[in-house]
Amino acid sequence: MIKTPICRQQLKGITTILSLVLGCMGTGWAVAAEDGDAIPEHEYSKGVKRCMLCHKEGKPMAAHEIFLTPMGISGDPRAPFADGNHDCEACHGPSKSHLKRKKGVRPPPPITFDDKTPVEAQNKVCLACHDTGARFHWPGSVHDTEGLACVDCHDRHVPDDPVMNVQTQSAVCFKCHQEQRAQFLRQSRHPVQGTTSSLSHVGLMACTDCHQPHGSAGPGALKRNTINEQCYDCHAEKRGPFLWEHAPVSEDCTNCHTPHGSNHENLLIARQPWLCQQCHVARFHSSDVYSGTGIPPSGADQRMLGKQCLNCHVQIHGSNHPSGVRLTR
Amino acid sequence: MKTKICVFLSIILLAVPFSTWAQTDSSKDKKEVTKQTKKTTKKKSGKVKTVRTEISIGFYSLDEDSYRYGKYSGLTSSDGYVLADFKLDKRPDPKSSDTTRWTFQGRRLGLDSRHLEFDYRQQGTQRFKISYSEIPNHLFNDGLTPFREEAPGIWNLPPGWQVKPPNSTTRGLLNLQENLLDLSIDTKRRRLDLAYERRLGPNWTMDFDYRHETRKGERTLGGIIGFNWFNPRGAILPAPVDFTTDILEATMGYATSRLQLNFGIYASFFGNDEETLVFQNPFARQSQWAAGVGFPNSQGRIALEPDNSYLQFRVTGGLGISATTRLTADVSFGRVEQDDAFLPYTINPNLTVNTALPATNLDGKIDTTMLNLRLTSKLAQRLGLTVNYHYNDRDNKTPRRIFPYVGADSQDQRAVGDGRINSPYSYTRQKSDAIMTFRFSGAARLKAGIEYSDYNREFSDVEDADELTWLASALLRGWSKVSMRLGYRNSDRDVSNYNPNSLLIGSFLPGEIGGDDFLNHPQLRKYYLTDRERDEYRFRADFFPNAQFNLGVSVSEYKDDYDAGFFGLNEAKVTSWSVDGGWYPIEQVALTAFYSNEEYDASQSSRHVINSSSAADPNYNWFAESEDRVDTYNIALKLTGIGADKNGKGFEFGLDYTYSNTENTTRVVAVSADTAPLPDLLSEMRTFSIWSSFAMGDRASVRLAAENAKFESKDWGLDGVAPDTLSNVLLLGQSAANYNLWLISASLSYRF
Repeated sequence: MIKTPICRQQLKGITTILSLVLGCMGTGWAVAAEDGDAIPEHEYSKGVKRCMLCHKEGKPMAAHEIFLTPMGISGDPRAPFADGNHDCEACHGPSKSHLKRKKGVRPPPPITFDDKTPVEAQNKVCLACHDTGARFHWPGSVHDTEGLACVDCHDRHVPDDPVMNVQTQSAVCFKCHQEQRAQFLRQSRHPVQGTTSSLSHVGLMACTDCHQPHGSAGPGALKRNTINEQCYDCHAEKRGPFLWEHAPVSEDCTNCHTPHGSNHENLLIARQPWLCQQCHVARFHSSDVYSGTGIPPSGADQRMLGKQCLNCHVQIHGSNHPSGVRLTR
Repeated sequence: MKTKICVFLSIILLAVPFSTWAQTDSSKDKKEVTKQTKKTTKKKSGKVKTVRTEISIGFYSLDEDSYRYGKYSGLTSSDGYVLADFKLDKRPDPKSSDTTRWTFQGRRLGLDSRHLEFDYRQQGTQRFKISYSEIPNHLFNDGLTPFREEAPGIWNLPPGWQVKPPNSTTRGLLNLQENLLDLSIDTKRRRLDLAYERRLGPNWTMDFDYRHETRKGERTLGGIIGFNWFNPRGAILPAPVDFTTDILEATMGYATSRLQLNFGIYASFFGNDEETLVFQNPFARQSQWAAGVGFPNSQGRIALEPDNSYLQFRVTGGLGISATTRLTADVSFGRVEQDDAFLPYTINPNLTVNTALPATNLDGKIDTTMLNLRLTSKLAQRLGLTVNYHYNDRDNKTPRRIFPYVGADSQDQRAVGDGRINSPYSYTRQKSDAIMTFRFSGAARLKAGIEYSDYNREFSDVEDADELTWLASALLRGWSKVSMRLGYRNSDRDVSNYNPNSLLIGSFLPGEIGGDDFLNHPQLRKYYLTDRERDEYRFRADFFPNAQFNLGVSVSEYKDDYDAGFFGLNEAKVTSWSVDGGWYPIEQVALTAFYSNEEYDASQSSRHVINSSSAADPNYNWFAESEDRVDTYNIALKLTGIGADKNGKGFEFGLDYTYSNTENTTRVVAVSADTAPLPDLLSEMRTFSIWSSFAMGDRASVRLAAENAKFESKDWGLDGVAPDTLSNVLLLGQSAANYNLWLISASLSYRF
């Protein structure tokens, strides 16, 4: 445990945030918070049979496949289609008024999962049942504060939700995360399904192997508490502790690696030896000038060819050899 | 093979007009056709079919071998592969009280990337899942080495190996060429996952996950003999990979509408069955090495990754303070341990070792503590607040000891006073942030926040640092045809005291640092530690003018600025933009396209330090600029429901073209030293895929696919580099990956 006195600037930062928080809380308490997303009072209709008169197979906005989803299982007392749970109206709200046209126009149900209903109101419906487990950290998560609706990612009316399948999940994530979409097509990448029909570019990993899109305690919505803990899930050999540690490795794998895809082998953020030289400017080889003079036909420098710096500093993630102080053992 | 491919493509392409003719000739009502195409699992009687089975059998055939093409899929050989997939899917009849659903499926069973999974759930009660996966990683198969594996992890030279003393370079390896053997490098992961979830009552749940994973194969490691800056000699070797990882995670959860609690345990056990890499020294003795170190009497030994374990306890709680305010807390305590026996200082009996190891093992212990607090509150109807506090502590309790080491199996042991002390690295990070969101009418919203981070490190050049971040974003959504998202983030990291060599100096006994040790230049600032200003911009717009068309545009930039006048990374910038869209003129046609451009620019500076004079002389300065440019695009066409009829017959057809081009340009300029331009590093991937699927009724379908895949890469670190190109390091001589191949596959699927 490291104990250091709080410096002036730290104090300033903490004070700033605390002031902001307390100020806002005060404002919040002063303004009696009302629930503007509450569902207005409506009457229930007579259940799913009435809905399926219009929302049946072959019709626009067909919803018949709901019965092939977990929500359609009536044997589960918590499911919308269990006895007394109001079927479709469990999510869409009491919709008796939706059954009759008014002036030739059919009023929508109280809750529609599109722009007619505020995102908060939509999500509130989903979270009424799905508020534990993976959704534990949803309130205040990045996707929450960015205003995403559950249905932006989840397709709730089809038997197999694409975002729940390792083969099709990445396509859902790539709808917004276009940078990652391109990165997974680079020569060095993790085997996540890319945007290609190539039979060799198969998805052996899913985005959710590392990320928890509903929010987490870790950075970048990672499932584990830190970046390194996440990487150690599959690369446990790098956890150590080693006798001779390499500090930037122990602190954050992304100091040298980029996780989704890179121009450079082993997902490195830059090419050796210059990557190493961004932190090593010592006598002789670590500060030497490496350029085209070090490669054939001009020359052959051992920090430029083969594994470059790692030709010698082989245990760059840490060494447990008593003579491995320079990570060569 | 080419003839086969031509015939194959012809079949796929000819099927399009045939099917179109079939559709034209049909007098069936279009609506009926559509309805049948969308046929789901309902039987004609109206009763829902509860068990569906689908089996696909076929083959893959490549016209040439390529390790790189099948890097992860396993499609590496022209010998051909079996295509075998299946899925059994049982769903409950929604009209019954049955809640049992199970699926049993297998994918790519004929390939090295196979996956098997059984998932059984009684909805609302319990779920059990077991899966088995294999993930290959084929790196290259065109390597060359003179070493022979005598036993796992022990690589020796062939009988009759000849060196020419005193030439201690690759030129002195007299019979290298005739002793080179082909070498391929790959690993394979095999992973078993078990998961069980159970609802124990109205408020209690239990989750249990277990993973057993092995990774076996080879990787490359340099085996070095020699220690100082002029005398190392080495060889790149195939090092054994024989890792086993077991991970156990169990959580007990309690939840009411107001309070949620989770109690969890996470345990990870890593084992390495190959603890060392031992290799024979192929070089004649170098004059600076101790007597008896050169071939044939010396070996080198590298310690491979030691076993380790990690145990973490975690409690997570959520409390609804009011209808609009929620507090969550997440606290965890963990310990990492590592106590693998130390290897001796050297494997070479010819070297003098007078001082014993200070301990038999590291007795490595790291305690981790994590605390996360989050308060979310809806202050008013449209105003939300989120406040977070994170505390992350890595307390490395590994004992510090003096190790009078042996320089890479080539020198006699150093005196105790010249030994080095290990530096168990610790750090503490704290971060607090407050984020406010304001929602306008519709779904437009503003978000603004502030973050303050504090870093404390031990055994580091920088012990204290803090970072202040401001962020703001706007989401314009709610219009039926457009949505836009705009974000900005600025971070300023401030370091109070940078001590350029405190970590290194701290690893010596006081006053013992010698002239040959590698102190960094005092003007170096390591990028992950030092002062930094970071700006991030993001923009995303989506247009939906009608149901048939959508278009998205993304632009982003990240820029890191470091203080001028110091060595190290000076600036790094990533700029990217992309356009993506889809056109769906009718229900049966989908045309999608995507283009992305990304540029990563970095500049750094340094000074070539030879002695104290050059350390102070700006004429020894040099600068490097690196530019990575990436262009990626994909265009895909998919036609479905062609010629579909009510008997389930129909045809699907697809085309897909993917292109990814990467270029790296590095420019190095020195004030006085000679430099020469470097060629660009290039990689270009082009994949053209065409496929079709014929449904011969409700049950059977045939799928044909062909793919032309090209990959060209140029890497000056590999191309034209033979095993003996370097004087001091024996390389494997592999080339940068290149392939141009055709793959065809055909499969028959049957559903019952």
